[in-house]
Amino acid sequence: MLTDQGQPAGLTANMSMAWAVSELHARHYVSLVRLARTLVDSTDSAEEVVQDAFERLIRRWDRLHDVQAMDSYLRRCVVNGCRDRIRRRVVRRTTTLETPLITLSAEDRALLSDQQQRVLDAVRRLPPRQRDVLLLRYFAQLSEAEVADALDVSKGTVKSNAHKGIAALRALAAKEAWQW
Amino acid sequence: MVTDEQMIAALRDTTQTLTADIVGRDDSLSDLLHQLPARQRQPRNRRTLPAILAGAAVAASVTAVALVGAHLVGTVRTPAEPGTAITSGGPYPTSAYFLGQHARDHATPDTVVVRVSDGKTVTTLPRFGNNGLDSPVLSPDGTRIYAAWGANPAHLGYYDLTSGRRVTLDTRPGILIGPSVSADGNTLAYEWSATLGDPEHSTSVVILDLRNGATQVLRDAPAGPQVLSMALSPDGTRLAVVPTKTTSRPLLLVSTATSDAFRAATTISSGSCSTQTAEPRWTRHGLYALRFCGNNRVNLIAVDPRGGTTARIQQLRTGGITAFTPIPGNDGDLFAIADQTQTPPTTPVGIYDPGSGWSHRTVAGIDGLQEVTSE
Repeated sequence: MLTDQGQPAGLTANMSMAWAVSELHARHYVSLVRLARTLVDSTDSAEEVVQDAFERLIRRWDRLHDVQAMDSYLRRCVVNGCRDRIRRRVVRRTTTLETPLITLSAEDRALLSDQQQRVLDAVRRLPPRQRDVLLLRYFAQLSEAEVADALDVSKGTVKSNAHKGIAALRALAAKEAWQW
Repeated sequence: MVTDEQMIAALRDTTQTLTADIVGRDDSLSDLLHQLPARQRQPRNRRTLPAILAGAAVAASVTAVALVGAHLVGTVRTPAEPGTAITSGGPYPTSAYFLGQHARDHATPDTVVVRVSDGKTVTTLPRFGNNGLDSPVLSPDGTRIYAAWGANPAHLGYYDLTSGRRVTLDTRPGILIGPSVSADGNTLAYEWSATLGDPEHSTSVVILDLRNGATQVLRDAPAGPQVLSMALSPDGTRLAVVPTKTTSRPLLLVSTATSDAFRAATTISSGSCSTQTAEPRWTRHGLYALRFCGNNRVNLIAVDPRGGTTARIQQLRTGGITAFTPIPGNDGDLFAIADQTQTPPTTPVGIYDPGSGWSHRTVAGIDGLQEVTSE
């Protein structure tokens, strides 16, 4: 269908949106995939989570009115998407395989040193909120306010969970006598 | 005993090792963009889209520089401002680098970045498939190479020189070609031929504000893409255009902000030479073009965009000019010029300084130039 100017109907609006999506994608896509990769056990899964996040963003486009809202929305989608996948993985393993939860995949083990494997394994065994706070705060390097926004919790909750998470890792390191 | 700082450092080190090589899916953005028109009609089916996109990515390549002007049909703002489009501190600022081509006699020559100071090729750009990047131009800050690729739908976007990613800014049916960036880096203009095979009547120019995504379409340009060329003024408010619909090919100046852009075009006098003009370039120091004067003479001219007068910078005693580009300095412009006196694929590029003449008369290994904008 053409408009009276001979332009396909809806094209202009979509071009503008295409530009904005492209900019957001350029700014955030790789960093979000990397963030997701720390939470899930394969790069493919991380890419799918982030792709889903952008698709959700497009579907909710009309309700998001500024850049900050879009940034925040994307991060929330990624964190929640990763949680969903972890939950499904845990359920699958515990109900069908009846084996203890293994947090590191073969891909993880191929990439990391022994010490790094211990660290990542320990982080992934933390309670979900502590795990998410640590990864957003210290890997994604978000501020406490941004982490609070991404996880939909208060800044106080971020601070306390970060403290608890680090303390738990330190305790584990001492107990297992990690070498530094 | 492990300290908090040690544990945080270990956490960062681990996650960085885990993710350092991750670049994501190549088709991620294309997948998303192709969902936009259909997103309100039907639920997504992401797994079916890559195949559609793979077909769309194969395209005819158009080889000439572009443009035109005409009817402003509207301005559309994005629902949100996605941030600044231009970053600072790119690796190849146009004050020190320009684009060239290797093996111009090949169907898809490699695009290379050349350093002005010594004429060395510092990098060769990826080809992105069989057709490569079409009409590449370097952003003034040296962070991006704007280019077109594909057809039906065509894509216009940039290759990010710092991250190595290709980003689509616009995709439309037909052909997109001939991007020109304003010297302030804020505005991009490019030609859109919506109806393939009918370039004389279906050409438009898209003006894209890179700061906020606002687009304007200047419709009904008076010529097709084959030999047209254009340049944005340093602030992006005007276009210097060489149309081909007329037999004389004059240099026209049109506004990018008025709906009657082409009706109100200013025609630059041809002076004593012929009226065949080509390849306008516009830096913060001046507006330049080539003017053909008989079979074996080409003048590089400077144009005063206010008064419309022209002045010859250099007469090039060659059989023709392949391309030229100004290289903006603090006090004025140098010019990289490729002429056709040598048999390809080794046509040399010379660096011409209006104050002192030629230097680096031959830039090794370069046999052509692409349009390059200026700071």
